[in-house]
Amino acid sequence: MAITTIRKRVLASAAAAVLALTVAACGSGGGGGSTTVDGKTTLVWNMWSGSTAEVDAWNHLSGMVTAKHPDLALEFQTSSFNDYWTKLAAQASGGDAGCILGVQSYRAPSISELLVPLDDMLTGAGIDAADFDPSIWQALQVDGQQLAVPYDFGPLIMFYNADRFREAGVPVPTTSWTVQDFLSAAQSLTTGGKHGFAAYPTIDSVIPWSLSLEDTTPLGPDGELDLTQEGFVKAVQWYADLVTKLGVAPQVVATSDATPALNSFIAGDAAMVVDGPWQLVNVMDQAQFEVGVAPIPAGPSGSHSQVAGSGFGISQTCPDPDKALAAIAVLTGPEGSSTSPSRGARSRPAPRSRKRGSARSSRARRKACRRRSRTGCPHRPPRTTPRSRSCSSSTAWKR
Amino acid sequence: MTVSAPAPPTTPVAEPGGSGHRRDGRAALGFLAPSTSGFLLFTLIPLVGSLVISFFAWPVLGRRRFVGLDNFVELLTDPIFHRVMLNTLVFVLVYVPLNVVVSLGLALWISPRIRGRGLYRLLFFIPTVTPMIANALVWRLLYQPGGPIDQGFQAVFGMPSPNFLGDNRWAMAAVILMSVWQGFGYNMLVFSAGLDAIPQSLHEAASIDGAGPLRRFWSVTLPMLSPSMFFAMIMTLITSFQVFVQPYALTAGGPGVATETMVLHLYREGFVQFDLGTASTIGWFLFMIIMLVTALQFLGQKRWVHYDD
Repeated sequence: MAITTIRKRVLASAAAAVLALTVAACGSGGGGGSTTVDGKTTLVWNMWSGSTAEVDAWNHLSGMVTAKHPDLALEFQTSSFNDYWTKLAAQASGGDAGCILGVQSYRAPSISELLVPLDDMLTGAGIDAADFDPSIWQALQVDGQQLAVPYDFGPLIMFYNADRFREAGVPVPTTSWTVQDFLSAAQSLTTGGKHGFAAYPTIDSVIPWSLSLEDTTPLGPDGELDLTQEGFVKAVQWYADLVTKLGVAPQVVATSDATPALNSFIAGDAAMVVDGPWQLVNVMDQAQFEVGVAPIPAGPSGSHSQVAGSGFGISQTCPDPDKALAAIAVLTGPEGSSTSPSRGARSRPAPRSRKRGSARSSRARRKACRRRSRTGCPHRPPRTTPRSRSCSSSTAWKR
Repeated sequence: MTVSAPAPPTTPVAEPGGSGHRRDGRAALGFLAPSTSGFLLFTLIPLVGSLVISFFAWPVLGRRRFVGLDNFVELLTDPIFHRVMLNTLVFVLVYVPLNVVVSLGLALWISPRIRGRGLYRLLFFIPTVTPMIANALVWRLLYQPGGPIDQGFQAVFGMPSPNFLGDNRWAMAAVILMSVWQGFGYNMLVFSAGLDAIPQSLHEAASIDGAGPLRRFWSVTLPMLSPSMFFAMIMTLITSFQVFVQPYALTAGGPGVATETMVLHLYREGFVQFDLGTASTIGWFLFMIIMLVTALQFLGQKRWVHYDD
């Protein structure tokens, strides 16, 4: 009897131990993404990326942080852009987020609870707001508090397949091209099952066109979404006509692909596409043709675009915010970017002193900035904006 | 260590109240512990947890707030959620009968001792065991404008095919077709086994009585197969109410919300909008609907399911 009892007890306690281990494994980690061994602090850096080329670029930068601060090392953790936000929220609710977090201007309000306000720390780390373009600097503020330091910033631009233009004998886009030029190029390039342009099936992709054609944002005067105002409706119709009436862009489909139009461009099926300069590193990496970049063609109200950008912030759970900010200063500073391996594609960082050599068209950007300051920024909707459910599925491209 | 000598055989049940039973109960508890703890940990506690969450405004980040039945009321008055429920219902009402017909048809086809029967069974089962995401990606290529289906249309009819994944009217049909292809293999195997279990003598007796093939199918095969069909129907109903991967991978719920199903909506509310309260509420709606439908099925089974005893 005693033997069996003992055996039962052993079994029971073994089962309990296994169970306890399983449970513990679920809640393991913690620590806020920072470990210190032999005086060397390793900070976890959470960031999205879209390709190995991007990961290599970030890892190179992390090496530069260690070169500048030998007592600091960054552990780069990454996921795709869409998954990044889901993962970040999950990690944060478990108190397990990294120390340095990638923050996109559009998404800053939704994760503001996670981030440390940086205003009082910036001077100590040698970061000066005056070095950055004010529009992206402000885009990373929530309720007047600076939550992240920008590393890139850019308007949506037109990518074009220079080889296709040359073969068809169509003049390549210039910085002063017009919507008429765009339409006639798109029509000439739509032959043999290939198309001149690829459209994103999302409402936000109309914004550069509604600005240039109709001088309209999708926002009403009080900052609320107003998609049915006359100018915006016209622009949406014009955009849809590219597919349905003119046939210069392939039919759009509902898809789980985050960047269907860009992929169609990279595959050589569409000769032009509008996307952000942050995609340049991926386009250059994957496209088998010569890639050109132009501003949004000018419509009756000029050439305008929509601006988005990203930066790095520090999580509330980070035990070493000062060290994290020192690392961010390197990541977003002039040294970090001048040796950046991403060929200027990420237009990193945003400091004004480094405008030259960036991929974006300064004209388009200037206009976009002007536009932005006047209308109160279409790219950072206020918190009270109603959730635009139907478009939530595929807004990944607008980092 | 004391090893007690075996007790002398006694006359049964010396102690009143049956403490022997109680000892058995403890042992049974021990044996049940692994599966019970799993059930508690991963099913019951989360289930109760989600019920609690559904009464809160519960963002992943930020302050939680008790809101009573607000989440339920909000969903019931939300036109998008109405559409999502309608989508789910359409999916279930079209997919389940289609699945049963296709799988039963194929099972009947390979049920006689035809040559290469095992091979057919294997072939028909392959879609079920391949990862659904990979299937969906291939189907996306088939469906897209300029894809093989479109090219086939151009060649045969001289006109482009409908834009299956871009057209409100076709998107759900495209999702259902892909789901049937993906899902019929399992039920086919169930039916195939059920058909094999029908004694040949029944068919022979019916033939001798003069029953033709159609009559034998209606009066012998179907009644004998009804337990398998009941099982297949229940399982298919439950899984089709929970459909997620097909629309997620094929259309991401689009165009608009034309193919957004309840679980996809739940995922989006919970893990894209980070609104766990609403997501839990959707989960409970789904749970209640599935419970109700399954209960109705069990009540109705007396009328058509014949257990051969």
